[in-house]
Amino acid sequence: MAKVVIVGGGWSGVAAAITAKKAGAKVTIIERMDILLGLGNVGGIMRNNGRYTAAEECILMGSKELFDITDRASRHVNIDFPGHNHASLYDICKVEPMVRRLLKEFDTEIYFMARGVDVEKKENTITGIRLHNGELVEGDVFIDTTGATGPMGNCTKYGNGCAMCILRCPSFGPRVSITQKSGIEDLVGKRSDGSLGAFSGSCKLNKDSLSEELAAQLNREGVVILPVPPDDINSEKLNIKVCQQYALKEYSENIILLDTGHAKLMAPFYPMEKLRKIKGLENARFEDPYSGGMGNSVRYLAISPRDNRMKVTGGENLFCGGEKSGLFVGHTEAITTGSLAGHNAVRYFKGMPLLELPIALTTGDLIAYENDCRKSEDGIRTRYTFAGADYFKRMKDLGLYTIDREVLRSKIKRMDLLNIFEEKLV
Amino acid sequence: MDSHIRCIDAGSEYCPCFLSETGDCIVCSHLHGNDFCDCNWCGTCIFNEFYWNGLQMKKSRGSILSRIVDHQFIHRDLILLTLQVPQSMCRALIQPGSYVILRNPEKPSYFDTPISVMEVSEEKSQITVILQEIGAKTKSLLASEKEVLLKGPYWNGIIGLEHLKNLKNKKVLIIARGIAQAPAVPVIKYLHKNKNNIMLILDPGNIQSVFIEKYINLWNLEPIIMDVRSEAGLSHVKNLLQHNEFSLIFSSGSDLLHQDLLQIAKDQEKNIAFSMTNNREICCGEGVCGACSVFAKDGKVLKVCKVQTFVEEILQGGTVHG
Ligand SMILES: Cc1cc2nc3c(=O)[nH]c(=O)nc-3n(C[C@H](O)[C@H](O)[C@H](O)COP(=O)(O)OP(=O)(O)OC[C@H]3O[C@@H](n4cnc5c(N)ncnc54)[C@H](O)[C@@H]3O)c2cc1C
Ligand SMILES: Cc1cc2nc3c(=O)[nH]c(=O)nc-3n(C[C@H](O)[C@H](O)[C@H](O)COP(=O)(O)OP(=O)(O)OC[C@H]3O[C@@H](n4cnc5c(N)ncnc54)[C@H](O)[C@@H]3O)c2cc1C
Ligand code: FES
Repeated sequence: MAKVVIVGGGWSGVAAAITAKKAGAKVTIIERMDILLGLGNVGGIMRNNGRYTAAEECILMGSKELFDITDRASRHVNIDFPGHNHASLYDICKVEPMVRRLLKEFDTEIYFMARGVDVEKKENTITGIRLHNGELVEGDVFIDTTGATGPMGNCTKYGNGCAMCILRCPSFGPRVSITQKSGIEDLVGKRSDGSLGAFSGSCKLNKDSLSEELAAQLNREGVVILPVPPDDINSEKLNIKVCQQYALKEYSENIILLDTGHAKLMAPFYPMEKLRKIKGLENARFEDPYSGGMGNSVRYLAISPRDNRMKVTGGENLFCGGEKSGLFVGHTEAITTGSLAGHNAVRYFKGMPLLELPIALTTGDLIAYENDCRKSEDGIRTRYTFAGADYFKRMKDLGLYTIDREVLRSKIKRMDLLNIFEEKLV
Repeated sequence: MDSHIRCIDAGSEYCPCFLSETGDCIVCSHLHGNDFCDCNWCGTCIFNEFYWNGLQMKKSRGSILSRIVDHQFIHRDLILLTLQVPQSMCRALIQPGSYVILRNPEKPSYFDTPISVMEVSEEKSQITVILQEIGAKTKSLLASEKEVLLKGPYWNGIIGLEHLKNLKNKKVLIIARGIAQAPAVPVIKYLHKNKNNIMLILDPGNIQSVFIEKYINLWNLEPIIMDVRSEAGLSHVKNLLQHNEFSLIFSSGSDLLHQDLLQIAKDQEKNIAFSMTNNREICCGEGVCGACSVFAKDGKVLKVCKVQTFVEEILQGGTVHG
């Protein structure tokens, strides 16, 4: 029986676990923290702009359980905010336990508080992942879904220092790139000014620290837009953040709050003094990162080289997904790439041809497009997401964007990919 | 960075040290001249500490004058020294493997001598060490009757310290020979505190003296006294290992003793953890001078005054000390 070992239990790792399991493998997830979902514990925005199309494509191809959870856990559905339409906002406090239960149902083995620190190899083939405590987790095929955020030395060097984000490096130890440990050099993303990495683009305020009216409005409407005093507008900040889909003028002239359980503030960080000048935020405090007044996590410092079937280039039995696999932003992007990686890991074990998603689907196109673009200097200064920036424009230009499920169904049926991820291979 | 290499000082008040400023940090890849994080995590980010310390090292250990409270010959060339030290120094020298660097105040720095801390009295703010008078450094040290220069605290007197740290309610074999009975005392104390069942063998060794019984008599250990490196001794140890399930062997003595015991332990194929005293020649204790260097299997130089790694790396590497 194929044993697939997944390092990193974020959205991409979890998605890979499910498709690998469906394909018939025995699956182990190694996660350094005490919870799953990684950055998924601090996001929440789904189905905005092209993410809607991508989610539906994934569902039709048979990777539906995680979207089912994020839909069910949504506090608000079909809301609009500047530059974004038909978004859902999942409750970040609800979603992790739901995913955890799902994985239990799928009978996946999960090691918590287990940090992969090295690989054991026989020639070019990985035989096991060495954990921080010396234990060896053996397997047939491996998937690197360790993300690309931090560790704190990188946040210090390329950011404003450790901002105490959800990844909690001081408690659980730093992220380790499995790709790098297997002797394959990672690629590094840049900001538009050429400096390395990028700040995470949003933070969260504790909802109880907002004025009662503001909290009520946020609960009711899902979105609140508060104008920033003219003296405090800082459009420079738009260039430093990951989320180019939110790098719009509206986001520097306004404070945009979204209700994801906490109040998601669409800026990488916000100095406390300035924040508290704004009506309704007089008592505001940060929930994530804890030090959101001074900085945020720095991401995209460790991207695996890969092909369009999510196999790491230069490796033998190593795949990748999520932010580890490209300059991708988003839960939907992580689930898409992770699902493909998990499925292909089992195909690899069986010696079958690996699946490549057609570029006539937005999911396939994003994977291929990012891979092409990252070869150029401009390309590594860009982020790739269905939700906006350049890529959403491309989706519209190529006619890939639709929210019509039936259109997608017949397209995917024509390609013979309906429920492909449901197929048991071994 | 190699995953089995750790630094004993990482995360302590002396970290980041000189090596951070020169780009030679044992743990942090940034402070080793690299662009990205790849450390052997030790619970703290050394780069972060360096940054918040104004991109410079922390203050290093200085020397203090320490009054000699007691100075007595306990056997031929064995001298017991009790030294008055500050409270904070006392507390920092409790853990097994702690040592200080002592010197006659009238002598230059190359008379620095590493000496294990055998006992700490927090109430009296004193430490006790046992010194064997051998050559230039130890003789001159003993010529000083009132005070010594003391630098510390240092901690890397034991290789394989992590095996000791988390051991509870287990069976352990401790073998201490010659002058190295002294560093075994804090080990016995620590393992006893953690409710381990200790079997103890004391070997008079070259100094022809068993001198720690007085310091361990609280714990009713009933040590076996014998020449461990004799044929009979080694077969006795073999026998013990065969008929007992030990979780750890602690070897306190020369590298030759370590090698004998490690071999016997490996032959048992019982996966027994092994820790041992650090016998490298230590001079600066700061990972700078290179006196303590050994070559690891991959050819890298390990400064063993700071590095914790597999015992095999140390024993097969550099010069083995008799
Ligand atoms: C503040 C913030 C807000 C965001 N908001 C949104 C949003 O609203 N909508 C959206 O779509 N996207 C959002 N994103 C982006 C999105 O969260 C990420 O792109 C996506 O979740 C990445 O998933 P991943 O699985 O690739 O990586 P990660 O979530 O980074 O997961 C990696 C996992 O691997 C673990 N790990 C790392 N190294 C090891 C190791 N050596 N051994 C074991 N485990 C290891 C980590 O602990 C972590 O759990 C946001 C990101 C941030 C930081
Ligand atoms: C961590 C540690 C703890 C020690 N604890 C004790 C102790 O509790 N009591 C004790 O009597 N001795 C102890 N020693 C050994 C002591 O440091 C040496 O015996 C002393 O340095 C010898 O110096 P010398 O000039 O008198 O003799 P030398 O004639 O220079 O040398 C005699 C022997 O000591 C060894 N030696 C010389 N210089 C050093 C040095 N700088 N570091 C280590 N070994 C050296 C030599 O290899 C030789 O085998 C310890 C050594 C270390 C590294
Ligand atoms: S004693 Fe100086 S480098 Fe180790």
